[in-house]
Amino acid sequence: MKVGLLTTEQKEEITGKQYAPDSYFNPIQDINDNWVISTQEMDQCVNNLYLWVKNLPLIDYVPKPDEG
Amino acid sequence: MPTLILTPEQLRGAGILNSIELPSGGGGGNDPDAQAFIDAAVITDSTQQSAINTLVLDLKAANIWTKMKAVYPFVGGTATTHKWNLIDPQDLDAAFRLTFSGGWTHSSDGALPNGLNSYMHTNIYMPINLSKTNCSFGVYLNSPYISGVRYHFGYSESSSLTNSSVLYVASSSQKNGWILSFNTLTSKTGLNANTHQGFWGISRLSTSSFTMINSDGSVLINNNNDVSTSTVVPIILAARGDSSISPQLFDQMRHSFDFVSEGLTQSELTDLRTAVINFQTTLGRAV
Repeated sequence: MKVGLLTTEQKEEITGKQYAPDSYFNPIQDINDNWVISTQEMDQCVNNLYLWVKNLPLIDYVPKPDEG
Repeated sequence: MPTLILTPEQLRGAGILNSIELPSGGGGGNDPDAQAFIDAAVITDSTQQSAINTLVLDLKAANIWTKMKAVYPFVGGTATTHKWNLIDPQDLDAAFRLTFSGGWTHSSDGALPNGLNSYMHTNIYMPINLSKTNCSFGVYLNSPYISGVRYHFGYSESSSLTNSSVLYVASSSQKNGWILSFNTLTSKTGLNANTHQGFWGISRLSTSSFTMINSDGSVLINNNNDVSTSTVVPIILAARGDSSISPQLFDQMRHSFDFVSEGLTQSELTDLRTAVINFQTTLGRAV
């Protein structure tokens, strides 16, 4: 699965903000502690403040080990 | 004899309309609560309107409408139509509208989480809005099962799941099937590893009364004591919500119905299951 790679500053900027009506960014960390968002958030973003997420570099997502 | 046709405005002017009960305006005879939801979510499809109305009538006929804190029918196909609580369709957190976080695919079949970072927050907090010893949750899932540790709904008081009050339904490849857990990990039970889709409902009526309806309609009853604390926890859908950490273990199955309620009896859970299956069938998205 591909995900969009964020800098720490970008993560701080978008966390909890709307990318589309009634839909909010939720950055998470991968196994290497990179902050990432989903391609759905990138593709569906219509908030003019954050359209730059559409140009984020894509990386392969490797999750942290399951904790369940 | 000539026929005199009067408008509602003329009837009101004559003092007639206020003395008799007529269907709510614009709804073509829909139940007023159903119509309020239809209006709020701007549901224009007649099949969806009819399905919503029948669902409301069924819940009222089963005497469970007033026990419901939140019902999320997921009709309309967008986040903006899926967020509404049928019980209180106001665009307010206090009305327990949903907020969607992370990546979602919304469609006429429901709300599909991406299994990466998506979850729904009900804005319901236990035990502030709902007692931990008198509560019920449920879901209708209508997309294929995907392996992995995925939480569909519920709450837990700590990330460790031990020595805490826990109530959830999840799938787990590690446990070879469905699991449920409350109080401690020792209560986990493997269930229906091959039939993940459909309606799941769980209910606690006291510290020692727990009922679950599996997706195949079978019933599990467990009367082990459970210890609930005063820890405040959010009700999260499509992920595991804890009191101290961000949601995690994200779901990857599509939700086409969710509810949060006061505790329901086994009979009430069965009635609800029937109503929800009928609702999904009418909408052409039953599994």
